[in-house]
This record gives sequence, C-alpha cells and structure tokens, in this order.
Amino acid sequence: MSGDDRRDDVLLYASGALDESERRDVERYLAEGGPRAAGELAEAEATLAHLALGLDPLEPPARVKQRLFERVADARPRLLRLRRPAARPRPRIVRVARIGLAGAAAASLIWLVAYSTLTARVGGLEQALVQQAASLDLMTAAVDSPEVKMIELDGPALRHRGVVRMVQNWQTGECYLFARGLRPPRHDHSYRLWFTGMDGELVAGGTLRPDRDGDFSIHTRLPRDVDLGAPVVITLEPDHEQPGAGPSGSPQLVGEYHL
Amino acid sequence: MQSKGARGPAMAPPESARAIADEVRLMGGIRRGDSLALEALYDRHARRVYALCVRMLRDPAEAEEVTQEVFWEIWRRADRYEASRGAPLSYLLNLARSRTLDRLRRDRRREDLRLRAGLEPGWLPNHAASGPRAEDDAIGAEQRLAIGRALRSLPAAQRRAVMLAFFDGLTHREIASALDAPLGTVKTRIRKGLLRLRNSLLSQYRKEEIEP
Repeated sequence: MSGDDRRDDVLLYASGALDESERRDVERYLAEGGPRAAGELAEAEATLAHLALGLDPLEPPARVKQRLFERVADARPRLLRLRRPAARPRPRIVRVARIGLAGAAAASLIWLVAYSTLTARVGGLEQALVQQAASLDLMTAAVDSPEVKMIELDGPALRHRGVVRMVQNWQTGECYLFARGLRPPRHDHSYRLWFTGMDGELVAGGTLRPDRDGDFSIHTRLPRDVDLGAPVVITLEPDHEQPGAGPSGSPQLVGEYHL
Repeated sequence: MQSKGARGPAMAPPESARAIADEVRLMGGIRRGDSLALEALYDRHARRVYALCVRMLRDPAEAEEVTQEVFWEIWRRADRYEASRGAPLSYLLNLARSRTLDRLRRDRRREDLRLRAGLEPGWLPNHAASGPRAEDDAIGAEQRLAIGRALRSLPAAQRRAVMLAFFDGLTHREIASALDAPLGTVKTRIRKGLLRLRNSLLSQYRKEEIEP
C-alpha cells in the first residue's frame, strides 16, 4: 500500500467509518508508523474538526458552566484523598514518630505530675498541664491523620546525618518543618522555603535561620493554590533581598511528594 | 483541485498560531490543576462544543450534559492531550464528537436518525440562544464560510454520506441502509467526500496564505 493510500485510510479511520478489519490495519500502522503516522492522524483529526467548525457557535446555558465548576470545586479535596496510596504500609518514620510522640507525651505527663506534686502551690500549673497534654494530643492526631503527608528534603545544605522533614496537613493547611544538622548559611544569607503554586511560580513559605547546631523548626501554613504534586524547595538567599522577590539562589534542599 | 496525495502543512483549525500557543499553555495549566485555565478554555470554545453536540444529538438538554462531560474529561484527563498531535481545539471537538457518538449509540436512537437521514443538513435546530455572539470574531465567520464552500463543492451524494458519517455517527453499513445504496458505493462516496473536503480546505488555506 502506498503512503498516500495510508494517509487516506488514516482520515477514514479518524472519521470512525472503517470496518473492523480495516480499523485494525490502520491502528497497527499508527502504532508502528512513528512521527509520520502521528502527523497524518493529526491532519485527519483537524480535517474532521473543520466539519464541526462549520457550525454556527451556540451559547450553552449558563448552568452548564456553573455545574461544571461546582463539580470541579467539589472534586478537589476528593481527588487529593484518592491520590493517597490506599493500602500502603505506614512509613517507618511515621511509626517512629508516633512512638516518639507517645513516649514524649508520657514523659511530659510524668514530669508535669511530679513537678505539680513538688510545686503544688505554684499557680497556673494545672492549666500548663492541660495545655501541654492538648498540644501533644494535637501532634499525635496530626501524625495519625490520613490528610497528613510527610516529606523528606535532601540536598547539599545537609550535614552528615542531618535531616529535614516537613509534615503537612492538607485539610487544615498547617505545615511543620523540622531541620536538624543544616549547614550554617553563608554570612548575610539565610535559607528560604518555597512551595510551587498552581501557575508553576514559586511561592515563599518562610525564612529559616538555624541555630549553631543547624537545628530549626517552623510552624507555618501552606499557601493558597499550592500545587501538591510539585516539589518543595529551600534556597539560600541574601538577607537584603526585597520581601516578595522570587528565589535567586540555587536549590539547597528539595523534597517531593510521593502521591 | 489538488492531487489526492498532495503533501502540505499539517492542517490545524484556522486560529492564529498565537491562539493555538495560548491554548496549549491553557492545557498545561489544566494538567497542573489550574481551574482558571479550564475556565478560559471553556469561555473560548464551549459554544463550538455545544453547537456540535446539539447538531448531533438534536436535543439541547442532552447536549448540555455532553458539553459538561467533555470539559470535565478535559479537566480530569488533560494529560492525554499531546501538543504534537494537533491544536487543542481539534482535540476538544474530536473528543466532543466521540462522546456524543457514545451517547447516540447508548440511547439507541439510530432508528430515529435513519428516518431523518433523508434531510439535507439544515445544520442547526431552532434554539433560543442560537447564533453567533455579537463579539464573534471575523475569523470565525470566515472559517464557517470557507467550510461551507468546501462542503458545497462536494457532489450531493458524497456530502450526504459524509454528513451521516460525521454528524450522525452511522457506520458504512447503516448509511447504505439509510440511503438505500450499495455498501461499496457508500464507502466510495465517504472516502472521496472526505478526501475532497480535506484537499479543498488545504487549498483554501494555502490560497489565503499566498493572498493576504
């Protein structure tokens, strides 16, 4: 069969008018035909699209658009939940964090109870005890929640055995970042956290100034319209950078979601 | 007329290259979950999609459902669009046609369509919101004229067979039955009609390129 015949068959194939055996032949050709075949199919589809373009446009009722975007809005949180791996075993880090938090909670409670016994007369102790317990409860609940994601960031800014982890709650928008063993930033520089927005632009998430040991933690909120499928980045930026300016330094730490 | 095998540039809908590039960018935005990009694409092309659905289904209420489904599918499956395969508008209209054909087949409305098969395409039923918008661009009106010219240049029998295949989604066999013509004749008419239409459109666009 000549190339021209093939091209004609691709047009008929795109129109949906071929018989079963003819259709299979063309599908085989398209599967094996490379860029030339792809170009012929694109041309055929454009020819057919022209038939539709011959129609006078018709304004659909406003409710069509309204329903479509209600559906889009309704589906967003559901989509995020669906993207969570269903039966994947809980990562070791989460198990360790849960055990650690439970241990910390128990230790805090013991310490607070002992402290309260010794200093029963100190005002406000009971209130402190309640607050501490509530805070630990909140953290444990956050680690246990299906809406919570933990990502690990890695890059040249980390010392040996250093670690940077971010815990995000997609439902509440809360975001905790813990860093241990970060290399000290250059003089007059600090680390800056960036999320990726839906438009692909980086959105500032906060400034990180680790202590002498390279430790740091921050509690912030996820920016609105953040792309949860895109990486989180930490760059090194000069301190005199204008607020609101985009990143100028190269990425020092990058973390990706594993959806 | 051009020869059957004439080679030419891949034919895209007669939008400007800039408009096509804009729409490719919109598809990228939709893929990343940007609902504003979806809204921009909807505002540009919902009228074309809806017109096609109404023409094929002959039922505005069903056409509304399919129009919504088509854009919903664009939102959910934007990753299926490949810019190398053509302009987003071609993709959108072919998707709309495909989903409308699914609906037609599912609703078992073939018999009814066959009864209407003798009608020369009147293109559109009466509809309260029909007709181009005042701001409809001149390119849109010109392209409809060009496509109308290309269709009118087909012999009536070829035109009818092409319309039944494209807008009513009938197979060769069903068209043969509807037109009471031999199967081989119908195949030849569709083949010749589509090829002639393609070459006619290509030659019109080339002429426009040469004569600004």
